[in-house]
Amino acid sequence: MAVRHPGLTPATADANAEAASVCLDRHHDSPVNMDLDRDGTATVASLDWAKPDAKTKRAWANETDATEAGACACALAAVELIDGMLAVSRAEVLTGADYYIAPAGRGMDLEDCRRFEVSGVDHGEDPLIRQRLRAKLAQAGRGESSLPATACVVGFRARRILLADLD
Amino acid sequence: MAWIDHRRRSERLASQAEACLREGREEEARSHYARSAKAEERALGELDLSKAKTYGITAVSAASLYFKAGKLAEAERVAIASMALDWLPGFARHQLRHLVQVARAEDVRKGAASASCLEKFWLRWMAATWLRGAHLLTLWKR
Repeated sequence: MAVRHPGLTPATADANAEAASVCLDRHHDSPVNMDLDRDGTATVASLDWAKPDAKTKRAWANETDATEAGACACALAAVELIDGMLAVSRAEVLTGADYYIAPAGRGMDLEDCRRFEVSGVDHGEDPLIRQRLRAKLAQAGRGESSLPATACVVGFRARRILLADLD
Repeated sequence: MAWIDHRRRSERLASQAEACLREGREEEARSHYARSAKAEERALGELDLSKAKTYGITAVSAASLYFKAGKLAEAERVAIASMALDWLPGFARHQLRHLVQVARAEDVRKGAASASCLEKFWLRWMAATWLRGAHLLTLWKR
């Protein structure tokens, strides 16, 4: 992913992919079909991963960190697949980081980018994932923000990825 | 170096900092965050000022990275300098204002923590003096 996404370093892309494999492996065997929902339009994507070994699972034993990083990997793959958008930069915040995304081939600056808010749900089912998406959109829309945003929530057990825009 | 080169260097350092945090190496993570913040600030200096949105994003990033490095005064300095620009976009102004509030609260919290350390030291010193005095009194009575 780091080759295609200018805002991802190889180390971050590898770490996110590793975390995603740990999260998916908790509930499924590779490969699985993920349901992608973009503003009510459904798509199915096949997802396969290398089974994480014991060392990898220990390294990602913190469920919160693993879910957050794993969700980033799946969300960026989903937004690239559905919208043709790529991560162009990290969005540093007080705790953690999200991303800015832009269509492939755009200029080096961030004038055309959108904020990409990502969230992961490990155990929850569809109602919780939808509730999280609403919360993410509300969060992106709070406080004088003139920045368009896309929110994405990844449900690992539910095999669901929801995407929606806030403009 | 161009804006994008500083920015990429900053991103590399920030992701190294995250890797250190995951492995529990907090001191090393703070050092990477500090270097990342400096690179981000250099990126700000190289930026074409007509790119207000890019400037706002970079300013928020630089201040946030200084905050993560534990350099609260630096975070506040970058935030306040950027907020002084009247063309700064609303989203960046809002995020920087929030960051200044959080940095000041963190500063007060750290101050309170060190004050309680002083209190603890003072109480320990008082206790030791009292014990020494009591010991001397016992010896004198003998």
